[in-house]
Amino acid sequence: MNLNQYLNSWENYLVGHDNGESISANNARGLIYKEMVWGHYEGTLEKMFPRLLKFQNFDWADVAREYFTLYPPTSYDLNQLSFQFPDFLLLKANLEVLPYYLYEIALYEIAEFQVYTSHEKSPDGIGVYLNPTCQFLDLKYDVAKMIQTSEKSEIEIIKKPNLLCIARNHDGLLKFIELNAQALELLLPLEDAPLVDPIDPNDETFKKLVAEGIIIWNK
Amino acid sequence: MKTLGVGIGLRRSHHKDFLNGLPQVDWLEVISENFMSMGGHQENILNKILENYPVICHGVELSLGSLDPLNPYYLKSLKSLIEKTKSPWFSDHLCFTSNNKVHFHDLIPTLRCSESVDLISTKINHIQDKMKTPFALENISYYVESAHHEMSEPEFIQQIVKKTGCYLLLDVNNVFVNSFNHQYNALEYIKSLPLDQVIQIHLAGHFDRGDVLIDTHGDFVNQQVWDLFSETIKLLKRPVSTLIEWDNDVPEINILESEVLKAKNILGSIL
Ligand SMILES: [Fe+2]
Repeated sequence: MNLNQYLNSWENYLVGHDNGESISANNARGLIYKEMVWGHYEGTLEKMFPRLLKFQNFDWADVAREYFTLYPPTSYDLNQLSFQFPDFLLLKANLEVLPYYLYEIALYEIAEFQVYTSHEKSPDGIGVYLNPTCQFLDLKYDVAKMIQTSEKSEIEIIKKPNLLCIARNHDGLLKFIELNAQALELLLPLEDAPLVDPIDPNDETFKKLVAEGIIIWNK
Repeated sequence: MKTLGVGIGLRRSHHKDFLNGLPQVDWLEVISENFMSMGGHQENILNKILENYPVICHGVELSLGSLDPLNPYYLKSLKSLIEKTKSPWFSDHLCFTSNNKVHFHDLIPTLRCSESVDLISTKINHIQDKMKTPFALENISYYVESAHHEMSEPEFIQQIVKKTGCYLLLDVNNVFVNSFNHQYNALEYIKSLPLDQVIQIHLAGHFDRGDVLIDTHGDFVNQQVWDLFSETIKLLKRPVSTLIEWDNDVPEINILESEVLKAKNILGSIL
């Protein structure tokens, strides 16, 4: 057996359908590896999507098997392995196997993680900036409210189109804000370039976006 | 290379202890991948630690034994972390963690053959060159022994060291666990390694399942592992930067501090 064959047999055993005979792993010891590998795969989904379970009774072991067969675990970053999970849920929603809002909850949980761990730094020059950690979600359901309610163990499905903005503020806390037309009008130009001065520092929407840390105003 | 004393692996449950105080450990090892891809809180905690402690970057995803090429994005990101932390050396494992770009996120024992020696040595030479920082190779624990190996593990390590000049991160618990699981003499194994290259030692707890010892990093260092550590230090006749690894069921920081003290006392009593 050459190196290539050896490595392939491990792969076939760990994530394929090989019984492990070729690597002498068809026993209790080989199983230690299989359990560890799948434990990592399941664990990363479980950790990334703690809220999904409140809305759907997933068996992560089964879900992980199906998901990672469709979307092979090709990243060295364990967290990134779950980034295509919303696509998987959308696929299921399109097949009418799972409700569509699960897809949006998963999108929300990933956005939250990405914002929280973003490498983007707060700008320190003078001016008005869009918080560089911001992510925008165009949703059909009021996911933020649904998650909030689920924390009190009440499940409420609220259909309400909304544009949600998530950002990490100066203190490292996550902030969520539903954007209305006025807020969008203020934010869109900032996406292209910061402003030296605010258009109207006394505008209520501007003040709110600054207070929530979505807009950063360094005077 | 200056020895750092006795440190611990940084774990999430201890972040608060390092943010609010100065736990009694000499240095910290960070899992490189946890800091390469995450900013925000992770970056803040790392910055805070760097003010007070030396930090060593310890990776798990180089996948040296894999025929997949080294990932240039990974190397770039690792280099920035090494530069940021001023890690005097960095380490990863003698294993493979991916094949055909599928990542297993676990340390799988590679085939000990001349093709592997060449492959791993070429990769180590490349990364040492790129990182401009010495590299230390860690021996892993393994549960399955292939019938297709061409050489023993010490021979395998000897050949790689000869071709690369790399350092060794000797995991004493892994040697102990393997010696039980594969029925060999742990001290004889250690004696047959290129000991001059040992730059760091790992100590950790394991779990006795009865038929097999499992390297869980979830308990106190076993007394027999402490004994093997003492014997190793007697062989080395010099202090070596030592690290306590505790990854599962992580206890309060004071328990880790007491394990650090124990290692320091052993080092002090021998040297
Ligand atoms: Fe180790």
